[in-house]
Amino acid sequence: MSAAAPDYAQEIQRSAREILARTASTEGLLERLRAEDVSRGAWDAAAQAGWFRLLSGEAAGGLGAGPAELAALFREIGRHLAAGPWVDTVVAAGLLRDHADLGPDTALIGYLPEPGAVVEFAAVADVLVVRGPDSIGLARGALAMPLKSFDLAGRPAQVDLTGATVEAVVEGAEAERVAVAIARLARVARSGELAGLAAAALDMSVRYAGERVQFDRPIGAFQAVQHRIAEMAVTRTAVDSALAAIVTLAASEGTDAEQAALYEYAAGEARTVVLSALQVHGGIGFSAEHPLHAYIKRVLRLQAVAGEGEPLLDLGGRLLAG
Amino acid sequence: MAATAVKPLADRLDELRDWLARETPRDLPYDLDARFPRLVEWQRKLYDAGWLGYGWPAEFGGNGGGPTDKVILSVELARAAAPVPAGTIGLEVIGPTLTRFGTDAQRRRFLPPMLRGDEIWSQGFSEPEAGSDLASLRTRAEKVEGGYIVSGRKTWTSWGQFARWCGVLARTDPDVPKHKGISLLMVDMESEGAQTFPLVQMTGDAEFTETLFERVFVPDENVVGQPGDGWNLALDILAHERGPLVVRRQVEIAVGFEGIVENARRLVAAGVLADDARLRERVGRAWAQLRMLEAYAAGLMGHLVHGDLGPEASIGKRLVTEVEQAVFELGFDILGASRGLAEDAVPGMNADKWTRDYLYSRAASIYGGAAEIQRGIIAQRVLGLPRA
Repeated sequence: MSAAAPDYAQEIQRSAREILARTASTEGLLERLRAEDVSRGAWDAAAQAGWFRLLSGEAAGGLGAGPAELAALFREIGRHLAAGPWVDTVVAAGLLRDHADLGPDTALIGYLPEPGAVVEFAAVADVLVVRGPDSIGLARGALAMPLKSFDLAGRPAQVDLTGATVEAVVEGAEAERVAVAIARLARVARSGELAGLAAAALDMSVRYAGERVQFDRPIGAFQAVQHRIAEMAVTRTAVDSALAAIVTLAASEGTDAEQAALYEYAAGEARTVVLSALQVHGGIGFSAEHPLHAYIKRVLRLQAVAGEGEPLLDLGGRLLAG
Repeated sequence: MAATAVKPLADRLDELRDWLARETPRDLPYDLDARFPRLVEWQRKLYDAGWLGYGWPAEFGGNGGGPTDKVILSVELARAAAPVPAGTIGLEVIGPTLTRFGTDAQRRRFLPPMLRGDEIWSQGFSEPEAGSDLASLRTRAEKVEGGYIVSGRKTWTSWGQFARWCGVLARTDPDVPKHKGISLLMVDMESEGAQTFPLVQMTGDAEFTETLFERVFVPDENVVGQPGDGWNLALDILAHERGPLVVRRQVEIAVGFEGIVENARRLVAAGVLADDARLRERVGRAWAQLRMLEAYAAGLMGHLVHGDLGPEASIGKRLVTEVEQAVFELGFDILGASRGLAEDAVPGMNADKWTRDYLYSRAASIYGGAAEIQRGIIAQRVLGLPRA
């Protein structure tokens, strides 16, 4: 699906890192997350940089990029813990812009893949896209009830479509094709976010272990701490490599079951990394004044989002059935 | 790098796969003494067919080609479940070192018979008192007219009983800091005073020997690099073998996993293994770990092409070890009541093989630098944490 050059993903990564460092700095992260639902500076810069048309075809003014570029972008979004309906706007809306006018690039988009699903930022979304039995459409008059959440960078909501009208924009087999692409690419995006969160947690831990002095030396000089952080680097690499495998599956004929299994695996590994980061930080890491808990809670939510069924178990069952 | 004399191996994959499907020996005896001559034969066959020369300089018996050719060949061998050639230590450890640091005379003398399997090599690094702390090795090489007199004891010498030559790390200068007084010497194992004693492992195999050197003479021309370079050569050797090892081992583990899933089906069908959630989850997780590792190895190939793989190879070593141990533990656990038996309760279950493979996997976090050594390298040399 991507005709992009192999180094295009690297270019996206560089540009995303530069834009997010400026607009969603991790200095003052907690203040930023408390002050606004959506990291507005980053959001507007993203619109200007064309991120919300990353996946759109050229006819819709898009960049026609593929899963590798998407993964690179979301790795940076995770690393900077930028808040907003990134996945739905970049992936669902990005693909639908080929079919429908979804308004300005800065629009906040929510995507409801099935009735009853939790949609992030649905309460503040400008447009709600709904997957129906035989179509994908834009809902008007839907009710979004915010859910309380530990996640500082997400604003989950329960969507009630009673009394809403849905105007179909894609129908039939094409709707099915788009819905499948959205599901696959959303998994790529979330895996990228997990990889970025794990990388950030490792970096924070290396920095902290070099600064925090106990027993007259930086704690990072103690072998017990060094070995824990070394294993974090190994597990972080496992998350990155699982991400690469998920990208490969999205770009090829890999089955949904395989991709879902790899996502569950990646989320579990990312969780191991952020929890190790907590151990390295000790008491300060457990304090709400330190930003680490925002990374931990985000990973836990991303892992829960994957919790439809038990993908690793299901895949194992398939392999055993032959 | 030598000019490529023949078509690149990457362009001959179909041909190689056909050849391997046809020629791979399938009836090798398990007993090592009977097996080893067959492995030598296999190496000669690979060489004579023109496959084994890939990645080796054309002027010293190779085919030329690039640094990834050797990795491609080892991956294809693993994929075909073909045996590793007899001279693997020469091919993977000593040969590459001679290619980079040897003299032309050394390359001319040693590489051609090493490639063809006419001369088997072993590696004399570890000692009974110098394992993880390799630099504290005690084997001495005393300077005499025209060469050195080597005395000391080595251990974990892979296939030492079959080796004609041994690459030995020995202390040539006891008066300088321990990392600086070590040299790499090529010792002729037919010399007077060189002896090997088979060392049986917990798997029951004797792949290793203890190797004793009692006043063995080694001529000056058999020193690799300069006297005192030994430690840096050893680090270079260990770092260079980690990347290719991960790429090859990853394929071997994947082949093992296929056999494990097949065995699980057999055992479920025979009613001795429950196809329950616990089994399914473990199979699914092992599959995911292998896909992860495969993607990691694909990235590693890029670094091998550019030759820019540094201490981060230790991350790969940790990853491959973790996956290997998880996969072969699964292969062992599904044997149920037959775990640890060398008898089959169900025809074809191969309890003997899967028990051995499981036991062998436990060595993965010990050989080639123990897990603790890898963690130290990652912490200090990759992440830059302070030394204690």
